[in-house]
Amino acid sequence: MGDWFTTSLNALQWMPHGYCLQWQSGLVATLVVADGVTAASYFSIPFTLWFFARKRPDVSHRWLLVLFGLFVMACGTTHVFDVINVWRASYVADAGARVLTALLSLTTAIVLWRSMPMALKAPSARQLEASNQKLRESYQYARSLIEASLDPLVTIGADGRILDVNEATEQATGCGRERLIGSDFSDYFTEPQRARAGYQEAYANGRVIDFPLAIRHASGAVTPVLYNASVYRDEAGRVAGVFAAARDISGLQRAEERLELANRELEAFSYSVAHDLRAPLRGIDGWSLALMEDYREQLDATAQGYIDLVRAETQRMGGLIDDLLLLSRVTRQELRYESLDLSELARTVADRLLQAQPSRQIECTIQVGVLAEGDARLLEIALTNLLENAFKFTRPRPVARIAFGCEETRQAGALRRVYFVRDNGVGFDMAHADKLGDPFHRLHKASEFPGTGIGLATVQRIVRRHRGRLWAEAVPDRGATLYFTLGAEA
Amino acid sequence: MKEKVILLVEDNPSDVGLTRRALAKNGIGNRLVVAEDGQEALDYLFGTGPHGDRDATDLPVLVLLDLKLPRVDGLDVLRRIRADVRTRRVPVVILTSSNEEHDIDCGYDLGSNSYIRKPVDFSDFVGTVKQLGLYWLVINEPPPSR
Repeated sequence: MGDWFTTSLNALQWMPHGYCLQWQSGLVATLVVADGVTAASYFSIPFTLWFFARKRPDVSHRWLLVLFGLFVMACGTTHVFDVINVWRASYVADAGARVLTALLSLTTAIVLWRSMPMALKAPSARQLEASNQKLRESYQYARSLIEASLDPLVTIGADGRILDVNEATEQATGCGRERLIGSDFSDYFTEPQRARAGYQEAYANGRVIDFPLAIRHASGAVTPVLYNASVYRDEAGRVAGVFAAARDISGLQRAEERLELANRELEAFSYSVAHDLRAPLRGIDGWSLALMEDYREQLDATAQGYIDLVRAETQRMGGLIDDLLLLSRVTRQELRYESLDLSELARTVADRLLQAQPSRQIECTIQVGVLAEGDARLLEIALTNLLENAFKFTRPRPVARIAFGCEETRQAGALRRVYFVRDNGVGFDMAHADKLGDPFHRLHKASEFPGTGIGLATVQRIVRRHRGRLWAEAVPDRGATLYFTLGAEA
Repeated sequence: MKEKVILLVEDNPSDVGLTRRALAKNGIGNRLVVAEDGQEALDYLFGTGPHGDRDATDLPVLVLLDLKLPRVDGLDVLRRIRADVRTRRVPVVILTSSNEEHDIDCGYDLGSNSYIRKPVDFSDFVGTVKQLGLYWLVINEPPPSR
């Protein structure tokens, strides 16, 4: 082994390869030129790869290029030795070069094989083109949606400059997008200060909802809008800007103005009813009584009876007007929500009614601790009406039983409170239950139970204004239970 | 001794008659001066216009004021009464048909001493006038006359 190594070092002991070829000049020249060209070509490849790598810094897996370059260099080197060996037998160095080449080839082959899944995954130019086409289409789709929006849409940078707009924005402002983009967002509003505050709020809180502003068109026309905006983020989750959409509310505002006008008219009407209609009634009642008092001797019993009827009717109409006024007030009055103890409220109302009818035997049960959120004044009116009805319709009973309380049920995890007023009175036929709450609709004869038919309509309105529901369960001659909820039901 | 006049500001003759009757029924014998609109009431109080020869320092013991009046309405009358140093202490009771919250609020804000809604039932009205007379003409200590 040692000997082999020593002798190998002495290259002169072997014949140059030219002898094998018997120095046939044609053959030698062909081999030398072919090997030389091959080697030169091989050596040029790493330069090409290096050049490519330098020009395309985005290309990944650069170590693969290095490995491939080394492998090609090694291959080139073996061809150089083929040329040298023609004249000088450098077989030992040649062998070394070939071993190195073999190792590099093997490594490259393995690495290449193992890179196969990655290579297979890498998109081809055609695939890239196809996916680019898809991207273009989806961009076009998203863009055309934005452009198709009837609401002006804009994106705003942190400095308040407009980054992008859609066609509706151009129309609302009367400015082209080349002028809009890059200009200050707040410039297009009647109150730039408020507009600035609006998008700053969006930046600070991530969103702003129904922010009222007015867009000023280039022509000077003003459009009232509600702005809704939220921040949008880049892929890394950083806030990239604010996306804002304006909704033209001029139609809504016109409707609101009409509503306000209608409300004012209703107000004037109620006032007139309260004032002007009651005054003559007072006269009719007062002068009928004067007639009775001052001319009693000249009036027989029948005439006096007529006067009583006139007065009774007058007072009934007075009550009707009062009830109607209450109904209209209940509809108009602004709701003031607070936490209420309905039990306490019901107790106060019931005590008042009990005091007014001391001769009757009434068992009034009021569940304690019944809580609700609502308007105290309106709910007192509702409870007064419900309890008054209970008192009224239990009149034929030797012992009236009246109860107020609340049934709590869980529906899909949400607590549902159903309040009720129950009595053991005359009840009514459920066939007419749907008429309950219609103003002026009565389920009982006036001769049996006096009333205007407005009480439950008032309760109905109060409950509806609390986004609740009113319904009844009754059995003729056994009693009735009036149920109501407050707040929207699930 | 000055006459203890009650000034009734009321445009409806029927209501004037009823009020007169109710006062009489309760034995309230004060002279009743009727002003049929707001301007007339102001003229009486300040001794102007048709009441130019009246001694304006002789103030009524009580003003019963309706709100809905021709020319100058009741709340304006009240505003002018309270704005003038001569009349600012005169007891004014609003006696009206309306129980609109707005009217009640304005009445008190402008310095009304009381707010009474006239009931439809005349018997109730007589009762109301009785208490009104008892309180304002008997129990209440009037402002000293100047």
